[in-house]
Amino acid sequence: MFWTEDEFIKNMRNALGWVKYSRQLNQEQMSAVLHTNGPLWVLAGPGSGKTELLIWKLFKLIFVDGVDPQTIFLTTFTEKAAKNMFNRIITYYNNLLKHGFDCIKNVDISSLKIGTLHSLCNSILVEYRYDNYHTKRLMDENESSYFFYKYVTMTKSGSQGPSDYFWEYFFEKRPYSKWQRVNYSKILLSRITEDLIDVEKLQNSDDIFMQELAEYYIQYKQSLNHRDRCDFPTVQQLFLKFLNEEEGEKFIQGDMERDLPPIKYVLVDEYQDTNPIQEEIYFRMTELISPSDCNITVVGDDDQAMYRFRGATVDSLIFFGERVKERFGKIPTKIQLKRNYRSHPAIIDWFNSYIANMPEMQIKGARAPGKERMISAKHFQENWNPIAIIEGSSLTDTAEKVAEFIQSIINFRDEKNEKIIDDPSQIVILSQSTRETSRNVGSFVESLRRRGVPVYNPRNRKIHETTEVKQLLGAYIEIIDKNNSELSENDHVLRISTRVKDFIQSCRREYQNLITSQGGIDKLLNYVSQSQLKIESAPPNKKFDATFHRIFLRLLNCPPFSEYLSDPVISPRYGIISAQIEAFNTVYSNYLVKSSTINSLKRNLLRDFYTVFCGQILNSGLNDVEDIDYPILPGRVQIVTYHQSKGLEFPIVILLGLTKQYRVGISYKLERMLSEYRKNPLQLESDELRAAQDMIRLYYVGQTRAKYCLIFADKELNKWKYSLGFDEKGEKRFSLNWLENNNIPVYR
Amino acid sequence: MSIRQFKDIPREKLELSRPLRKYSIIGDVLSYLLCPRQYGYFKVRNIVPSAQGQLFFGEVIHNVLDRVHLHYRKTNENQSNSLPTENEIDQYFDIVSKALKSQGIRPLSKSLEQRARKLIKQFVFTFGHTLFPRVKDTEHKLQIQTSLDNGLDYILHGVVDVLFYNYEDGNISNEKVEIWDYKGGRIPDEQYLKNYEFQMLVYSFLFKQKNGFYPEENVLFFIGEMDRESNLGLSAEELLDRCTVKVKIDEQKIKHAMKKFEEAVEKIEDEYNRPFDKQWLAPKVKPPETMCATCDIRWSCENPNGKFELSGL
Repeated sequence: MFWTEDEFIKNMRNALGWVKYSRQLNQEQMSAVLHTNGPLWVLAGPGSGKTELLIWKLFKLIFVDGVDPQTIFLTTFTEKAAKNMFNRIITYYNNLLKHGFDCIKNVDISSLKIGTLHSLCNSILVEYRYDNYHTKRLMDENESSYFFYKYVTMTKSGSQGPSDYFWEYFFEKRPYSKWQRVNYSKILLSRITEDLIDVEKLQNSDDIFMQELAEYYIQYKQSLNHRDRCDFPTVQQLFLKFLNEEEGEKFIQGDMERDLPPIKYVLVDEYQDTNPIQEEIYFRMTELISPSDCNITVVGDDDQAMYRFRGATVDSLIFFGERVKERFGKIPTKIQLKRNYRSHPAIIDWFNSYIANMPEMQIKGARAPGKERMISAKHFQENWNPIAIIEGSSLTDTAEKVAEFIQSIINFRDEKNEKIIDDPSQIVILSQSTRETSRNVGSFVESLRRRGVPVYNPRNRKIHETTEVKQLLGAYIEIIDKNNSELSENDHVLRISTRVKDFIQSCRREYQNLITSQGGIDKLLNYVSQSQLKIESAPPNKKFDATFHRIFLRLLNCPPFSEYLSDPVISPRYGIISAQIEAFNTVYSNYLVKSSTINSLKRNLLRDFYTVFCGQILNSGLNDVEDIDYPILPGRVQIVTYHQSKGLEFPIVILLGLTKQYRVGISYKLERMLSEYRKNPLQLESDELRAAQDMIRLYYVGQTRAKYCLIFADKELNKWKYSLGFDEKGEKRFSLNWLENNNIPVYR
Repeated sequence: MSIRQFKDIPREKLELSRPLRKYSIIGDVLSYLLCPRQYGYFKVRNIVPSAQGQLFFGEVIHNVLDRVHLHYRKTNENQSNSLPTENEIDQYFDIVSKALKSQGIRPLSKSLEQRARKLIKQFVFTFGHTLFPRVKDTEHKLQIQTSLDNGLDYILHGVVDVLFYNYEDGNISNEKVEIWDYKGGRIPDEQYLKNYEFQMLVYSFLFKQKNGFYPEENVLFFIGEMDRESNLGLSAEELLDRCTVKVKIDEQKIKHAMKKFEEAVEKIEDEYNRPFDKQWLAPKVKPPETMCATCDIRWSCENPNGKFELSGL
């Protein structure tokens, strides 16, 4: 015990420099911070200081209630979020120390258990050596794809795997390649784990496809076990099993001998993105800690739930109250952080109306109960009209107008000759996709570039579509396959799809272009030709001391690739490729071996590289392009997807893609189809409704990013139903009349 | 379109935030001091290196010994105080080895794999009875957050292989603890040994921060020393002596080590502030020869220790 509540608040305000600005926690934040025991349900709207709240809450537990940091379990949705949270915690702690609060010196604040749930599960299972877990390899997404490709029966074709009818039943179409089968399999099998589907129920189902699915699931689990591997869904499943056994109880209660402390508090951030198995893990932990104390705090915003396609269920947050009551007999304290410290009041008004008045969001269960409108808590000295509409006659016309606007903003000087914005990177364009095609942001980028406005869109292409990666792969392909084997017809070993063929050819072309047009690449030329020679002149069956990975690394020593490593945008891409290669290597070992019959490498090695490796990168598109960490480059206007923008804020936000209708993706259907097989069956709304609600949430996130300017830009204003929505009276906001009457400038 | 609508928006300066970094003694600081370029490319820029052979030997020994300790503790709870049998050690070894191989971490040769197996057994049967009862904890995590003189915050962490109780008249005392680190190889040259000593001194500092007192002793145990032919005829005690290097707890030395650590962290932090293409350049002082000889990017290095020409495959 160190401080009283009052002392704590005073000391924190001092240490954080709040006193001189008379800054305080607001009423709702204060209630949430001072709340100690019992379940807490925090609905944190955009810009409401959610992270601030969590940190204060943690500190209050530690410095007022005397809770040992090691007994606190805090999860975030991404590793990045965990790092950021952790950073801030350490910074605040150090500020307290610097302000002379020595009494807290011996608190080991960094012993807090923070991370994504699957990473915490992983480290705990390793620490407790549960079920030989520590000898297993936890595969990331890439590796698990290769694993599925090679070992999971469900991905096989013909009579060995599912029939076309099976696939059509679930996905409404047939997979066009083995990699598609891998994707589909992963989606189905991870859902079974994450939605807590009862496999026995599946097996006993009248539905033959469900029965079949159950068998594939069992085989998949066996493969994982047999090969000492684990994936993210499975590690959570294992952790739940652990919690239901003696060892898990010991983990919660602590092992004093080994200096392993108990768990006393569970805090979950971004709770709207929790899936069923995670919810069960949190509830089970709470139960083991003390069902009467019920020390679980969840924080999130259901209106910003964007990850259903990854299996997240917003219901966990919306129905938290009901579920806690049912499970623990307690009613959680519900606190809504409704003060927004980010945006101009008119922007807040705008998005308040947006979310409240969309008919789909007024249905029961669409939003957490009792949601109030956000209130502006930031004081602005000046006033201005922060919202504007740009309606072009076409997308290209819209792009021109947007570019003109951006250029003017950047060049503008006021009476004092000051700029409006300090740096172009304070202007952000949000779009559903960052691809520079004509239907997406292509014309916007073009218009900006033509005006000499620097643009930063590092995720404009999938990595394998970039020149630098193709050149590198092209060089490798030239080494291992000088003879263009991908083009040979009638080769029963090398049956390569057209898509892969085209890709390989494209890489070769890029490499050829490189060596004919660029100078200073002798090192590369020598390396390639010497390697080719070594292969050609080797005797049959010779095993080379070289692997794909090793050759890739050698190539990185040659210009231009060595120079690319000094480029802040290309370097992360090479890092990703190197991880892909490593993932490939863990499943497909590939020392190069000369063929026994022909003057090239063994056909099956080429096949593995072409159909498996190249097939995979074409298939995944290096999947979560969004998850790649590109550095922020000042001096350039940013282009970002709605998804990526979550959690961020910008002075000027321009929203695109406003005419979109909601799309009922396959995840809605699958969620519904499988829901009756859950351990606790769930009633779901229609697919269309859920899809529409998710689309609305997406636009809501976009609108809530803006601090000072919110600009909507697209063609065909009358189609902006889902992006502009309705007012309190139900009147369409996406009409010129309405906008005029409400003083929203429209530029056409 | 008129931007006059927005001419009164608040003027906001662009702020680039600096993330807080976590530094491990071996993984970050020693690695950087030995070669900033390798550190930059493989640790920071996430290029995956190829040289995994050395890794297998150290990893298999660590992991199997860890399981052996666990085995001992578990049987200890059931009051049988038993070391694992040779068979059981073989089983552990096989499980660990298989798992490492499935991760792409392979032994350089079969004979080296066999050697690792033998060494582990030798260690367990020679020292198990005297050492294992004294184990307080294994894979013990140490971590503190602190800041540089210039105010930059960072976190320092490390993992101790084994914490042993230090016997005081044959009685276990909670206040007297030893930090041990297992090394798979043989006692190295002065320059490498210095690095290990540095590591133990920093561990001692972390230990004191966490527990309020220094460990009694820091011990580096070089398992690779055990199978030297010249060891024949030595008693267990003498063998223990041969294989270990003790690092004295000396406050001055610890202070010096921490200063060196901080300087390294400062240097690393400085790198991040440089323009992207001026970061992680080759060091002016050449790294050890063996390091450069197996480095994946030695052919494009400005200052390698040795002459390297890239030839095919």
